[in-house]
Amino acid sequence: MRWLDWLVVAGYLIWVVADGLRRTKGASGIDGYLLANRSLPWWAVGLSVMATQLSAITLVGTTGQAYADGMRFIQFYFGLPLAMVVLSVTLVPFFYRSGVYTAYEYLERRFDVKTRTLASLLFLCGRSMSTGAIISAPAVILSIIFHWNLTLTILAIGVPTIVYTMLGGVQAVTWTDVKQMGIVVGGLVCAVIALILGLPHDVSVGQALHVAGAAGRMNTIDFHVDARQTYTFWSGIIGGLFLHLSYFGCDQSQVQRYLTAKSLDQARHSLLMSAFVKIPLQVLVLLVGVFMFLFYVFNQPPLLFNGEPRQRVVASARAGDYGQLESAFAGAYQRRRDAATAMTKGDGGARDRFLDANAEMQSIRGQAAAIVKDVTGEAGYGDRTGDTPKPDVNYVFPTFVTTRLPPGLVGLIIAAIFAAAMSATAGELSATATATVIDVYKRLLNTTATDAHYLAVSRIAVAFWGIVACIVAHVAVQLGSLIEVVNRIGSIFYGSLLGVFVLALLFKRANGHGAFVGLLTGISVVAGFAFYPATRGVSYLWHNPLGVAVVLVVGMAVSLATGPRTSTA
Amino acid sequence: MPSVTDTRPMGRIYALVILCHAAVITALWWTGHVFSR
Repeated sequence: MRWLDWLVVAGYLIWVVADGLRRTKGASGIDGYLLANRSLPWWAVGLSVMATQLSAITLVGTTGQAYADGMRFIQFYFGLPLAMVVLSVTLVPFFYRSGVYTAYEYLERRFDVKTRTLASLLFLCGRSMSTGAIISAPAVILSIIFHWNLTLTILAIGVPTIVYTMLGGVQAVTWTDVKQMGIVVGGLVCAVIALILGLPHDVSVGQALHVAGAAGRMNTIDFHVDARQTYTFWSGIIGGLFLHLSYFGCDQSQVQRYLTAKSLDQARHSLLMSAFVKIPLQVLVLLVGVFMFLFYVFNQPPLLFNGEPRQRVVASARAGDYGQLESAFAGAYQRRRDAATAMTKGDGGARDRFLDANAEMQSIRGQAAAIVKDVTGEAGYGDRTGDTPKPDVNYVFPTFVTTRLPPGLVGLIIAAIFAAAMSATAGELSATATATVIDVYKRLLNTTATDAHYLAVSRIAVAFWGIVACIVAHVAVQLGSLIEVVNRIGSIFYGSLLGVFVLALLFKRANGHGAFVGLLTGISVVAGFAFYPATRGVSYLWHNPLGVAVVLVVGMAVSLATGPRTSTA
Repeated sequence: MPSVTDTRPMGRIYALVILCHAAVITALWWTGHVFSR
């Protein structure tokens, strides 16, 4: 990074912390600190909802995914607008009218304290782990690309976020989210413009997109019915519907966002903003990946984007083999570029030559990944995303940014990666602190303290969960693929949590025992399904409908067997 | 206190969400179809 890039990143960090601290005056009581006194406009809450969902993993991983596998990932979001409509009609009015701080408070009013506590603890366990992953993923990538100290990188993301969240509460989180979304979208738009300008002058955008289409990068919708395919139209519209219902309806990090809106209508509008904007925003993210693919059709890409394993291979006995692969890769790249150029000139036979050269490059990359796997022992290099080794996908965008963009713009994109990580982390910290204080401390440990006491405990809880997230981020790096396991475990809870809320809303005869046993059974069944060898290949998007179904069946059976509902309301 | 009385009918907005979503999916399919030929 040049001095101008450092200036941009440092300027961003100072600005975001200062802006967050300006909001501390609105956080003088527990209502102001955790719910912003329900005073925020729908558009700020809507942007905060999207900022919380869009982490640096999304920004870096999704662009890399589109580079390697094209636009098909967009299908993951097909259920989102439908989920927003369903939630606006059902859960949002219930939460808002009941005046709760957390989603799980509603479960005690409808069922009993044990169901509320279990749901809240599941949220706290899952979110504390995933917040660590949110910080560690970009920290690892940035530390490798720039040779930064990993611990300092984790702290550079974590500490400013903890400071402004702890002092400013949810108001600071929301208003910094608004600005951070601006930086992220601005960075993405600048990246797309830079990528389009990087195309050869005699190749139009339309011609370039036809080249991307020939390589399968424009295949957006897949109507095949295959439960093992993660991204199809059906998994997106059905599995994605349940996933987004769970995430936006039962996850405190999102529920807290729309509980801060100044009215019920504004809360609904904040969610419907995502229904309109989320897919176009995600298309923009994926287009960065597609245009990066096109950039590297006309400019030579490295054999592997992550330079660290290459250095280890070059220092090993397999250096000669790897060198031969690099030469063969350069030859195949030249053939692919010539064929792509011919395609843009209307040469009818060039498409086949392009596809042959592309397949050859893919094969060489596969052999290089096998060598890396042999030398480093990293099992991930045995898997692929599209035509790229799986661990390499996350390094495509940062490598492009740092090697091809002009000074200043590099700083802006790095600031955008920081902004994405910090906005997602801040939302999670605020939510985990709220669940800790409202569902555990105030409900179970100290029920009669003053507002000032709960405010102080809330600030301590933010700091506590922030430190936990930084420690988890550090440990997760050493454990490597365990981050994936953590994410997989998260998907196991979601469907069952949604099932409990559906049980509460739609089944009047359901009681607390049914909800509690149903929730535990749902999690157990989905966990078994996710890890059982015969079914572990089924896309995680289908775990959520399964969890809902199990909770409803078991919850109702136990409720009918144990008698009338045990509501405490 | 939460303001819960200022709710307006949302049916048209929900219908608009569904229509726009269908249009976006159709546009994505069409774009993919055109550029993948």
